[in-house]
Amino acid sequence: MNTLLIYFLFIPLLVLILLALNLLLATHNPDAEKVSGYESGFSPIFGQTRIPFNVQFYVIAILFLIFDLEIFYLVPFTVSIYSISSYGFSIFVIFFVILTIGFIYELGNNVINFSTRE
Amino acid sequence: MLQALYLLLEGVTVIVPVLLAVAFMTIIERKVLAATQRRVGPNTVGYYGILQPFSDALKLIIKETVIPAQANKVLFYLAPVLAIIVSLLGWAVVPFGTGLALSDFSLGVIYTLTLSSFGIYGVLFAGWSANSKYAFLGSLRATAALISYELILSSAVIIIIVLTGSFNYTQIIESQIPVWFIVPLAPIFILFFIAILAETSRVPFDLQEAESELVAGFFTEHSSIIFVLFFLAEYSSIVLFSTLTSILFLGGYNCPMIFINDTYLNLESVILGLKTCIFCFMFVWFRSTFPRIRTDQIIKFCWVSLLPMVMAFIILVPCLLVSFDWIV
Amino acid sequence: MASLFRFLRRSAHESPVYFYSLVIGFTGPAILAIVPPIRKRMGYELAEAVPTTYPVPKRERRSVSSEFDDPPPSKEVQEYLQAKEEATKNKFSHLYAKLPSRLRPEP
Repeated sequence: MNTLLIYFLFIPLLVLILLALNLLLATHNPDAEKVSGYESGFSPIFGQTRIPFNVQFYVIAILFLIFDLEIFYLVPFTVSIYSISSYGFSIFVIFFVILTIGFIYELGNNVINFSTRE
Repeated sequence: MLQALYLLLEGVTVIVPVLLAVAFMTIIERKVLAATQRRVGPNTVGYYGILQPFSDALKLIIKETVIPAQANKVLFYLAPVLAIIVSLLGWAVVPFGTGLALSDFSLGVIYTLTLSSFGIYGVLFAGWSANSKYAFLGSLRATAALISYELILSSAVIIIIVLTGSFNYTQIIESQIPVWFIVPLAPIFILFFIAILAETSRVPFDLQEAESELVAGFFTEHSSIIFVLFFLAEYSSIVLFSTLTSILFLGGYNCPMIFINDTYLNLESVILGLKTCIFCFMFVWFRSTFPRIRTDQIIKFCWVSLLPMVMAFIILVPCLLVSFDWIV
Repeated sequence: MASLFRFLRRSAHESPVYFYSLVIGFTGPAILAIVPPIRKRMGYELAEAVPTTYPVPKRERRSVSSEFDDPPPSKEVQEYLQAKEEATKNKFSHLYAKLPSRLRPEP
């Protein structure tokens, strides 16, 4: 029975109260024009909404995964830096230099270019 | 059972001023933007327009929620709910005074980073569930920018943790009693502030929700209460990140002790509030000064320009500590 | 030498981000290589490590007489304890003595 537990239960309750207020107080008259999607006046073509997207977004997500994991590998080092002293610091430098070499290779290959002309 | 009510009262004591702060942040933004443009902002509703956010919220609650016919209903409602829950949960670890955090979590910094990573799901679900091309593309671009600047944010925070040695926010504030961290780590403060501007999708990284492009980005199809929830989530993130900046870089609630405070009034939270106001004003100041940059320029700026700098600082700071004998 | 300087100047002008990131990144190991000998020559000693455990004394291990710290009981106390033990003896006492003390039956 913790403050954080009660807080975690209280915030969704607050948000649901706001949603419920809208449900109570607002009108609800959907007609055919209101509920069609927004496309500057045209009617949306069925099957064209889930379009294939640029592969650059996927590449960015993969790179984010790698570098985010690297940064969170550094997190235990930063807290225990006093206990590990110089030896742990040298291990950190070796780890970081290996990943930096990978980063330099990736930057040199010009991986993030959104304007590919094919 | 009574204990649960007391704990609920503690939660309400934190949330009600936070929601008021978020509401007043919206009117502050509009008034300050107006002042930089030599006009007066909203000044009709209350004295100097102070009651404007309440009338805005009331108007939006009474409006009709139009759900597009082709949208996924569950995800459509889930996205803003997730965004605002995650944004409001971040206030649980902020210390408002000595020992006055809602929960003095030993892993407070990791909690904050986790919540900011979780908020990206709200953006992703919003764009995917509104089954339209434009909303989807807007949410993809927003997500790509958000996850890229997530790295800079985590790295800047990690460099601070190297100087502190603990994830606890109260411990970070206590270790700033000699000198505030902005003095040795000023370049890292600049990087952190840029990352925060991008995390909350503010100018100059604003293209996702700019009012003149892509209609309204990933929340084109969201109306009334759903829009209010996104809006509140964004401004709550702004105020939360301002508070975190003042905790991590300026001293938090530290100030030179001019007099001994014997009363029950807590002046430390006032000091924290003043420091937060500086950064909230800086958010609005940046919005009124800078133009936007394009989405692909945003992402390229992060990966090509900021991330090498951040990596250089991650190497530099522990090297300095080891060579000057702080760690044996 | 001159061409090295020109190369450095050109890279600082044309791609400043990479150049200054490398400069800042190499400042770290450079300071690590330069500063500690200077500090040692100036007379700064390495700080002693903050104790994290009980400071174990650096001598031979001394053996102790028994596992208890108390001095041996006086004569009256010894007689009292012997009388008490004889009062509670029964024919299973030698077996109960093998159990751990929390499982022994109450007197």
